[in-house]
Amino acid sequence: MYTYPFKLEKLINEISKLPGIGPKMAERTAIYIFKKGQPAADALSEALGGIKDIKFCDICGNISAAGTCAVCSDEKRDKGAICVVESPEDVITIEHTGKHSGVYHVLYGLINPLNNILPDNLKIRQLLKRSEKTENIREIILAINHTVEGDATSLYIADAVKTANPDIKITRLAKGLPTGSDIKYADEITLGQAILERKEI
Amino acid sequence: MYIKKIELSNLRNYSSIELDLVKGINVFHGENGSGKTNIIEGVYWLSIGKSFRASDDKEIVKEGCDSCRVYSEAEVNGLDKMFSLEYSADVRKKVIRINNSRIKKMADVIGEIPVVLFSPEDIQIVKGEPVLRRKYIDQMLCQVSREYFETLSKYLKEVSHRNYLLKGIKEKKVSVSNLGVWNEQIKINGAFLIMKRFEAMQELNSLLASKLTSEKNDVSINYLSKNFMSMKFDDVIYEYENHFKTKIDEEIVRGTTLIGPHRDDIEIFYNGKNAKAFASEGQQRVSAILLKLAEGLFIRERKNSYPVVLLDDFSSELDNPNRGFIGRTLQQFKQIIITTTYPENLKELTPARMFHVEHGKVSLV
Repeated sequence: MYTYPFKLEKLINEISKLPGIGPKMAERTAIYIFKKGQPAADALSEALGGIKDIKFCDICGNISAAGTCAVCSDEKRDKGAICVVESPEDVITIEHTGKHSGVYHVLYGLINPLNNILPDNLKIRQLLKRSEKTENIREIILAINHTVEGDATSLYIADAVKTANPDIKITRLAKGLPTGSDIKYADEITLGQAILERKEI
Repeated sequence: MYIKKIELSNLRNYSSIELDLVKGINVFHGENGSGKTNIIEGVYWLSIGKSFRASDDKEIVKEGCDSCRVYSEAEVNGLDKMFSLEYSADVRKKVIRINNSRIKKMADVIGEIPVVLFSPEDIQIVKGEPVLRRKYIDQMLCQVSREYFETLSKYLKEVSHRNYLLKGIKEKKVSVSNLGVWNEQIKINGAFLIMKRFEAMQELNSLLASKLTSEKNDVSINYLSKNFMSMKFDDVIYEYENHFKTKIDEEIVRGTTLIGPHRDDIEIFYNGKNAKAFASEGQQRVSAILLKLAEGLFIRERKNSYPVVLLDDFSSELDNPNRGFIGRTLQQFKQIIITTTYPENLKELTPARMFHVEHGKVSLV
């Protein structure tokens, strides 16, 4: 019985370990890389080789090119306001808004007992360390999804930070209407939240 | 509101059928096993997002097919709207559309086509397990309140997280302190659900007393909870806090959250006596029908629009001595879809349109 050459099988096997990629997809991807030829494969392997130079920031846990990330080492950033997010992708999203001049803290997940993720599995202890009185943090902004797990995580962090340092103000992103949206088409829950969290103008 | 047109594609025994329905009574008659109930199931599935007799959506897809779809045109508050629900079995995904635009969450659809289903199984609401009575009240509230629907799904998820933690604590894998945040969320959402259920039951009782009582039958209900004496929000919160403090050891041993709306029940009274324990089979059947009629009137009051009545296998109710009263109450609903094996026995219910169902073919009579 014919099988692929061992080296191709090896490539397929490694690709199929990636999230969201099944065996068929892995096969197609591997054959695609082969057909593209050596230069494309070299470019890919060089990119993969670069992974060793990417690190976690010592302070906020975000992905970084050095020991301390560009945000944490930027002197213009307000070190007194920490925006807490679930993942590195969220940092990029919030950076695009240009509205947060402080620093970040990446949790790498949310509390989710059913998936065996408890506070200790997240970077919450590091956040508590950053919240100690000597660090002069004024505000912690929780930019965490409004889901069951997001609510639990926010509540947990709020309690723990308050215990560590009661002077820190803890805020959470408001739930409400998207820009450009029509009130007529908003669902009653979102609209209700927007009414509760209305602001004086 | 009423349904003008319904199309079923690859659903159960139907490859593709298109039915034009009318206001009033639409009757589908045919032999047992001809596929009458599948039509009602299709309407229900589109409305609620779940089948009433299949636990897995896969079961309703026609054998040998990958996906099924129900499409409907309905008049909602004077506006013509199009609804469709499609399920792909291979990816286990549902796609919902209203007026051809994709709707992300079932929460945005549930209650758009309110329905009330009468089935021969309804007697189980009276004599069956508490879970069926919780389902009765939850389904009614989910159709009239999006907030209830969302809170209920959140609550159930929170309880499963907490139960998983309790098992972990029992096995000494996690510490008790992990429960804190879940206790907080559960008590708030649980108190909301209990309060809403209690309010709904008071409304149901007043509907039962004012519109659904005859000289022979008087049905009323009562919220039954082992733990909560008062259904007021603050009192429930207090009870929860007390429970989480004092019963934690028992919860760890049992590995489950022992109080809350997921454990509560409804007590049903027939002529003042507990219907589950003291009513005859016939009386239990009448009680169930009256509760269902009350559900229909409740939805009508809350939504200011009559739900579509789905009567599955109505022949089983034909020997009911109260059929005259039931028939008259049913007549006030805008649209009724009935399946029956004996159309000649419908009597009080004058059909507006009759269909004959035979081996997956439906023809207008």
